[in-house]
Amino acid sequence: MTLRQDVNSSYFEKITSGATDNFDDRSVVGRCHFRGIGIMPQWQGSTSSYSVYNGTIQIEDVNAAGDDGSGTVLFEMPVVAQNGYPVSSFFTFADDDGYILFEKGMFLTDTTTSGTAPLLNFAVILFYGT
Amino acid sequence: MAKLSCIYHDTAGASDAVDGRTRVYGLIFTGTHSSYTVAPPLITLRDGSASGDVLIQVNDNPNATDTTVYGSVNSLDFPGGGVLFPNGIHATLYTGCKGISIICSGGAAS
Repeated sequence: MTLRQDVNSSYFEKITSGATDNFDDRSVVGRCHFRGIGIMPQWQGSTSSYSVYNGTIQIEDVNAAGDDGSGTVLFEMPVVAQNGYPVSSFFTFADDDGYILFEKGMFLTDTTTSGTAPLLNFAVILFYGT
Repeated sequence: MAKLSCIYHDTAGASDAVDGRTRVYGLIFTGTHSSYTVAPPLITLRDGSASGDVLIQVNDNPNATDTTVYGSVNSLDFPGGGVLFPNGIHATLYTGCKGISIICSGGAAS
């Protein structure tokens, strides 16, 4: 007999325009098994300027209070995007029946190493638990 | 279910990415280049050292005759037991590769 477990999904969306990182305080609180992620880089600058920007998307274990991302970075993925050509990406561990364990919860953030911050327009995180 | 780790590696050129016996279940990687001068491959993962066997080789660059495409984030998912690196992972990131996330189990830290 196969036991099935419901997969939860949390949707994180950029709230306002501009360079402010709007993903603060957007957390999944509680122990969970991270199973996959889908992301869309945000549109930066003018479409007449096809500059490339890059950085990483990170998911940190939340702190003891569960209200910020001062915990360890347990997942990090690279992103390269270009003005006018945002490309979504999705990755899942489902084929391996694998997971990354977040003991206290997941806190989504991004860093930009080239270009104007932030990188991310939206993300969907798939997980078990909480 | 298998407990996995994510090792993010963005050191240009060749260097050790993961120490110790490791199974790789997935890769997330990016590449971009505008001069058409960089030929594949973009990333090679060898067993243990620079002289180890190439066990995974991937590319996210156009070749010399194709149009450059920016904005790429690619991934590979290896089902089953993954790809075994008995002596750790030695990674080479060629010009244009911004970084690679190695989804794996094992390694010296585990």
